[in-house]
Amino acid sequence: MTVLTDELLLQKIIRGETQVLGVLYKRYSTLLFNYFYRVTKDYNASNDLLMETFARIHKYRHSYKPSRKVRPWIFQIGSNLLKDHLKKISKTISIHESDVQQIGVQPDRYSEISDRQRRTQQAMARLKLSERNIVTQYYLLEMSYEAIAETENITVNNARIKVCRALKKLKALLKDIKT
Amino acid sequence: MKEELFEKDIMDFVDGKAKDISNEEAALIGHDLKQIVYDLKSMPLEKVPTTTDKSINDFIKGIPQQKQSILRLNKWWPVMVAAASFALLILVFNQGNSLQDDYQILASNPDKLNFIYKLNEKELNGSDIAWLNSELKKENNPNIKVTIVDLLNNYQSKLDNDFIRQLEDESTPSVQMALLNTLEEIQYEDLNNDLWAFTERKNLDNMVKSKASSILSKSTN
Amino acid sequence: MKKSKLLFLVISILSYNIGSSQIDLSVYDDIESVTVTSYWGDINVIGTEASADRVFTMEVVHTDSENNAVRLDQIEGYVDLSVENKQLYIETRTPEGFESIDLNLKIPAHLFLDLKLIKGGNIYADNLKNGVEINILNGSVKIERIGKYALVNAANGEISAEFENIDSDKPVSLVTMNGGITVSLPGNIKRDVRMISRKNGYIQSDFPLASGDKISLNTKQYSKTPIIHTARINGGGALLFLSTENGPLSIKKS
Repeated sequence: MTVLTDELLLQKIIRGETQVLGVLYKRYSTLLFNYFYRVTKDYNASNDLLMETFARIHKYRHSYKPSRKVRPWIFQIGSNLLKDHLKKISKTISIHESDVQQIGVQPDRYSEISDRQRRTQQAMARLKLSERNIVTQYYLLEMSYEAIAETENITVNNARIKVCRALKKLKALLKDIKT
Repeated sequence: MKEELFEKDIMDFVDGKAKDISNEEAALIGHDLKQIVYDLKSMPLEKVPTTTDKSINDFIKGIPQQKQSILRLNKWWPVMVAAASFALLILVFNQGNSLQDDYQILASNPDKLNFIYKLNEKELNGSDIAWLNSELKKENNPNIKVTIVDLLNNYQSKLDNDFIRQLEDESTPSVQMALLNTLEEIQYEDLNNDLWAFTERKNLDNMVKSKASSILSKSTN
Repeated sequence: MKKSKLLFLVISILSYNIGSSQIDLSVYDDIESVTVTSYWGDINVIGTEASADRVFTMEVVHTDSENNAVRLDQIEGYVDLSVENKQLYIETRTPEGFESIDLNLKIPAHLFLDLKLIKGGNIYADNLKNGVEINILNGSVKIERIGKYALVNAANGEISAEFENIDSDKPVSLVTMNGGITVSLPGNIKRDVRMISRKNGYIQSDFPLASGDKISLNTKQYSKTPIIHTARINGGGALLFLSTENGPLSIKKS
């Protein structure tokens, strides 16, 4: 149960009550960290991205428009950072079969997931980074198509199509992964 | 364009906006995609490394705090700021009751009062009530206290000794009276001993004393 | 109070009397709030605009147990002044016998006022734009042209409060144990209202009070049973909390 809305918390941060940033961190750190980790499969990079997201929330607090919801605003900051990060690494990264198991949940937590989930995350690892990003924005952050469209600089309709096509690709990849 | 409409139908189904899809092929795909999304959503989340928590903690501590617009400062302000910051960080980085977490960060009496009154819109559980009892004991502002008592009055069956004992330490007449009004309705069986002791107190306001005596006489008749 | 005694030395040098025993407090030009703690006596606080000649002054009247009243030129030993964290503390001495100390303050209108009257007297505050918090044991409270918000708590005495430019997200809470409550609000104000009058009360309101309960308004018939209602003014908003154990509640349009 929570009474203080994200919007009220951000107003407090804008007014200088910076310790309130810790409350927003508590609310969103797990989701954002998992978002970064599931897309990048890089633990350290996910840490850095999480830190940078909250540094930017504070830095750009005055650019927040009160008419907007805070949740998509925060996710947009995180998504933009991840997008920049992916651009940097896209020329050097290549996903190998050995990396695949690291994507999604950590190997020591495999007992917590079903065989079908394990196959799904292996299929996720075979998606392009941009596809994995948009699918993770969709299912994990539960970003609306409008928010995805704004982050990816595409139309709302296009955002829906991209999510659908990435999911269809996942479906096709799943067929190739043996049980 | 046709493909796009086909995909829109699929996603409307996956998103739960449509209950079913008339096109058989789209329906098959839609069901599979919905299952994939379900599997993805239900995967366990990784915990954020504690080192990151600490780094954020350090980052927040490093940001200079701006002065509040409405000051309720006193001579212990620097100590209070340090203690409040520490308490806040302890709360933030440990799982706790979010009601308490939210309340802890409120610095001014008007914000605290608004917060307490808004709790009338919520269904409070036992630990919330225990927390409100502890706040009632700690709080200095009588208007906030009266609002807490007014809120707790909605949970008469869940009020226990902690609430009854509030009278022992309370010195503001309007708060004493608010407590007595609620205690009168609780009809707690051990109330009399506490009330006898209360009526014996020196400097008790006449109206408060009369109210306590009236509750006592009703319960002994 | 060691620190305040040191400060008093500074005050003695910097502050001086302006005619009719007014202590000049203009040396405190950078404070943000005033906290007054007194025992017996009336307290009047008037908010002054920056353009006024005498923006920040204090007048102290001491009345001894023989009822002899004297306007004090020197306040040492009667009233302590100290400053901490941009907050000016004005504290009267613990009473000796049946003495009382009246305080007449003019303070810049933008300062927040926190006022505590431990024993009794009447309180009047006017033209304070940054909110007030008042606690009093015996005596009435009258506040006018108050901005931002107000929390007033009285034991024995009525409360009268008139607001202007009240903050839309800040509460107003007026609580007395024994006495009526009258509050005047701007016509366009939006409020959630909680009204409690335990006995000898009625509710009078210039505003239509939207409520899930049946509210008997403007009858001026004293009720012997408790009146407890929750309602909304103009669709609802921040809290207006009015509570008395004994007396009527009146909500007026200012």
